[in-house]
Amino acid sequence: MLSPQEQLRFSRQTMLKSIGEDGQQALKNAKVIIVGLGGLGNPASLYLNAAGIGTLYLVDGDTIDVSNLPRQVLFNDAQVSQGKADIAAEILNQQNSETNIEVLDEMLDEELADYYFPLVDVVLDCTDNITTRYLINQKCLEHKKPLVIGAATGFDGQYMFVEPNIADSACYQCLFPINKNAPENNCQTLGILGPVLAIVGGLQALQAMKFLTGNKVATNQLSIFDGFNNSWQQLSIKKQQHCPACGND
Amino acid sequence: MKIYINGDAVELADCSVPTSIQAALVKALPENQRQQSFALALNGDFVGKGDYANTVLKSDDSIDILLPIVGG
Repeated sequence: MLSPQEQLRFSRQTMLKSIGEDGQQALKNAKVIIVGLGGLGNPASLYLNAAGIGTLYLVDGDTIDVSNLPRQVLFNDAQVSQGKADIAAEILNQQNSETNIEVLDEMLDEELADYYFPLVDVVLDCTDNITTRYLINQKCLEHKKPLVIGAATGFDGQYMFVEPNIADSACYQCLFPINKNAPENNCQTLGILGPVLAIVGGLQALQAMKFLTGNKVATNQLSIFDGFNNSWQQLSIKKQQHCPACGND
Repeated sequence: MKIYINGDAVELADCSVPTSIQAALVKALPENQRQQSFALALNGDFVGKGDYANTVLKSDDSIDILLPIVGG
């Protein structure tokens, strides 16, 4: 049951038929883990926190660098060298003090995933390296947790939703099978513009909210954003029966 | 037989022998590129890695190789 203050605060969300008070209550009851509090995790956490998600787990062992500031818009000069997850929690608490925020100021590993993923309703992959992306994918499959994947470099972004509770949902490894040469290019090596991250991180937050409020979120689809030419492309993908991560054999 | 890989024309020599996606990749891409993680679309439709060897190409087919973006 929403309090009168909550009814007022979230009125522009609850007036949406596809959200309503039931949806807002679902957001309040929800637990979301955001892995990576960089360029994607910043906007995604801001929007989820503002929207009234009950519990946010923020995972990042990195510290703020001055070169992060143009795109990681939660942070400022005075916070350089401090922990990203800690500072993000402080700022988010100022934005919406009702959210229960838990800081995990270390890089995600198997042990952390095995402990925290079972506690949450949805996982956001906002990381910047493929090794962790494969680990998150694997752990979401093992723990049957929906996974909202975002990625961006340069002017380009990718987004995908994996729902292990749907039998034919393709996983990240169905799309990008592990191979000998893992891509190593990220924002540090290829460059990035902040608004590209805002678009992809915002999309991740939107899809998480839709999922948590019982609305349909498409699986088996890779969305590809080209911010230079202002275009989106959708690639329909299929679960791979021989996928080492999620396949049936 | 001519096909296209990421928009570039690639001539596959012997068109009397059915050529699979796997064979075309071996011919057209250096080994270090084939050893990267990538997704592949044939004429706009996703083809999983397990189907590269049994998907036969025809003239003017277009293969797009899509690399994962990993930054965030």
